[in-house]
Amino acid sequence: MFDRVGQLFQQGGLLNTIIQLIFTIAFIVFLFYGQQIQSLMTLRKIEVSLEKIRRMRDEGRAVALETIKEIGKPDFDPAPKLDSLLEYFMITPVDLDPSGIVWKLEHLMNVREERFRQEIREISPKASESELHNLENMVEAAMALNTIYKITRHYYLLGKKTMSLYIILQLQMMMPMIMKYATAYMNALKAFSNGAPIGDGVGALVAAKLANGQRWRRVAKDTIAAKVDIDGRTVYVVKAEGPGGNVGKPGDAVLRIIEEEGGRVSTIIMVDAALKLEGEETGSVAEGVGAAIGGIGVERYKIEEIALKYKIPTNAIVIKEDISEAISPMKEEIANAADKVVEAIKNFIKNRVEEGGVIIVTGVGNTIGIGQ
Amino acid sequence: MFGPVMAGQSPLNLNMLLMGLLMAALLFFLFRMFMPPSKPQEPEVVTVLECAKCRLKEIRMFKRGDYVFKEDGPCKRCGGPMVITKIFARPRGKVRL
Repeated sequence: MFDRVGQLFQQGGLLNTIIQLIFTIAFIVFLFYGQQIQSLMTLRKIEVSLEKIRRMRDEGRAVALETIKEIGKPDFDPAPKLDSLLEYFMITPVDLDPSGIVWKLEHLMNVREERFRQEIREISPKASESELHNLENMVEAAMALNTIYKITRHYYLLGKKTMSLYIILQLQMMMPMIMKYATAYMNALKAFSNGAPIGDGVGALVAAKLANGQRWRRVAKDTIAAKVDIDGRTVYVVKAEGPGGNVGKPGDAVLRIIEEEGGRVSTIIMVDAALKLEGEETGSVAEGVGAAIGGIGVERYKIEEIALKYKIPTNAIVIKEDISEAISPMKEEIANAADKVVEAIKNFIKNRVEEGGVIIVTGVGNTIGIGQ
Repeated sequence: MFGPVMAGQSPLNLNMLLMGLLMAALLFFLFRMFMPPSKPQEPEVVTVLECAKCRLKEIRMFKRGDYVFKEDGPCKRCGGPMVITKIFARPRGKVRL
């Protein structure tokens, strides 16, 4: 059989000529249009991913709308208001003269938060305060999905319009990360709609475990503190007020407690979730120094300032997790790590703080699904 | 490796085999590109409850309104308060505690 077919390919045979012609044409086409062909193939791949993000965005909007109707029970259609909220934006302050920018940022964040909360309250009149916080977080996750979709679509269309391989390749290289973030926000949205704890809440969970059953008082906006005695040391445990989705104002809380104690605080221990590097184990615990708190930087600035003013050492305990784990329902490994951290804090206090000392333990993170 | 199979065959036959393999690889690549990928399974979120008196542990699926340290009904064994001690996500189908 091989011999018969092989005869067709003999030197000067018809099939041989045709194949040679095809190869020559293919060579010339790839020589002149190789880049365009590569661009088209890459665009097609991006298009598939973009379609997935669009589906996630639409599903996110649908889940948000459904939850608002179910919990908020508005007597009107909240869809137009929700759609306008998904386009909500904030213009950050000018940073040409950075002096005082932190306070401008804080003011802006407060205004944004208040306005956003009002808008959510309008479309969810029957929601309780804690449900309102969850809805707020949920709409923010839907907003993030909408933004991811719009920005990706922008660069996709720009690449398609200009057929610039460099724009297209940059987008393609970013696509795995973009997909990871979009999936994480989708999971976060579902967690917020149900009120389940998320990975970022592990700091708040540690604080809640450390002062479980104690009397809590409000020390700053959406932030509470409890006084606990651990081996003859006074420990102020600070966390955002749960179980609604909330990060509170840990900076203001620490500031107030230090002022109340007249600056006589032996140490500040901050517990937070930290982004792990690839290869690191989820839920592994690491200790260090500094203010362990994420976000835009306002709260960290306040803590660093007050710690410097009174020369208070700031210690940090972090629980390692991925970005997608931080905003998805809390994994078992992370929930188990909270118990280890509680023990680590107790050991730290016993070994490094003298009896009679005052310590502030701040559990940083979103306290959704975590009471006190 | 292909010595016994290809013995006595013209080199052109080998070319043909190679082209066939290339075509198959191209078809496979196109098929993969246009096929929707399989969707990873979403994890399940569970709630762990513990009796404050007798330490009886119970695990059930998470439901809206659950939160850590919430009291959720009396204990089946001693009638004490059942408190939610943990809420976490785990891979679907994992053996229950």
